[in-house]
Amino acid sequence: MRPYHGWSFELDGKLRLIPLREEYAGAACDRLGDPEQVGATDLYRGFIFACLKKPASGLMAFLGHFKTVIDDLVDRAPGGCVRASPFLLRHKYRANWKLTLENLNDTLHARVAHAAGARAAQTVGNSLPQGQMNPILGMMTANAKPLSAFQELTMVTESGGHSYFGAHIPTGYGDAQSAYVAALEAAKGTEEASRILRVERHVAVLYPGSSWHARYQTVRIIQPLAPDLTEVIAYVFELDGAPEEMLESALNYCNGSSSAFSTIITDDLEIYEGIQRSAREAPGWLQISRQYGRQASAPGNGSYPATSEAFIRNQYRSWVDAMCGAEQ
Amino acid sequence: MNCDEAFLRKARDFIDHEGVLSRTAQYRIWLDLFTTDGRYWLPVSPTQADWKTGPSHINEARPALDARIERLCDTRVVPQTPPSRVSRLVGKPWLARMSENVAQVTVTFHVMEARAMPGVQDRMRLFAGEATYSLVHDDAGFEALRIQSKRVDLINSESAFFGVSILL
Repeated sequence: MRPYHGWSFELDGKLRLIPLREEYAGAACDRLGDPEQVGATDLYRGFIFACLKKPASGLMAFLGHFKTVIDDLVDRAPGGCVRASPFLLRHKYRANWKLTLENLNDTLHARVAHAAGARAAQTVGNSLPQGQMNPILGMMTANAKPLSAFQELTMVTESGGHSYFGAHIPTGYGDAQSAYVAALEAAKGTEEASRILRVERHVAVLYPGSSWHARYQTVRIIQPLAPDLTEVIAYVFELDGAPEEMLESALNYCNGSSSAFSTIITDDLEIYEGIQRSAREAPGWLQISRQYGRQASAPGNGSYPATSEAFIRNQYRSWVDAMCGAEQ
Repeated sequence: MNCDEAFLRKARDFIDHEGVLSRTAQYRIWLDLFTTDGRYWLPVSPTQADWKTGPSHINEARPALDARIERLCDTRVVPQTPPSRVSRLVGKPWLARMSENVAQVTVTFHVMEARAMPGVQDRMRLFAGEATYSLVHDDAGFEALRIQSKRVDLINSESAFFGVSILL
């Protein structure tokens, strides 16, 4: 029962009672109390997708090639399914939601924005015995890679605004590697296990609402709260049938990539807020032209060196379509 | 360890000292208060029994904690330009548990953080909660206390926070 006028509902959301129902007048009151209908829902490999308005095409058309991003996560579970951790990690920032999506596949900022953390991790790492690299130190250090190393990675974009690029932080499973490979091979056969482990991608952006990192078992939902306020909610998944210590490495990645207290993303969050302030105080053009026109790819569907801003232009193309009512 | 008034006084002095070090940005000395396997943990819920049950705001044992500190000591760390100013109030410690080697001591705390940012007014925020220390005597036998683990439970630990760079 609602605490003000006493409207009451069944547990499935259906209306039970509105006091003085007959006194509510007008056409807008015909469906008073009806639960809001979601336009469409669909399932893919256990993940539920929902769309507020009825979309012109189905989930599989929306995902396209990017269904493989979800496959990559679920395929890695020897037992065939993944389980979300019972705890969530959330952070927010005072800027537009698009900034996170433009950041996740941007490789040029890593060396600059995260320079202090990379220097710190290198200093600490140098004092450690060989091979004792901690996963968080690995993430911080990877950001110091020369730009040429990022140019050599491939970025893939697809219509709908989706994108990913090749792995740039360690993809091995450390001490768990041999036990995990054995479990995966036993469950799926040697050939299929090897195919699964050959997929090496960094964060994939499933535009406009989520990001996926299969190797590190982390999915983030990017939720706009206002034009200048965004919340990001991170989930870590346990792979059924995989060694326990793999979860530890996934948790480390999740904390480093999604915590408001992270030694990495606090750099990004500070910069997003600065960008938002600048955009308000001195609006101007965004510069997203890096490698514009250099690749002969079909619009919204192609592969590029990972230093290209093609993925941002692809996102804006999709955003304009969505705003103008074009088919998604 | 002996569970007596003298020990709690010693623990209180130690925790006060730790608070001064973090408040005044003497981060490397702060880090030295931890044992070589020390852990700093900010769970996302008071019901999180251990750090393996889910993600955390911070879950860092050394050397990841060393990297956090080295970064904070860098003068060009983006979200500490300009640096935070911190005020910290810590309550009287109480003994949660005592074993032969480890004393678990809890305090309440309030931390206020301000950053003087050009063009941004009144950016001040409050962190409040409990900090639970597992304290041991140092390996060198100096009777000095060291932190084996520090768990910080914020009263709003489930919240989505804006970026935080200070130590709590």
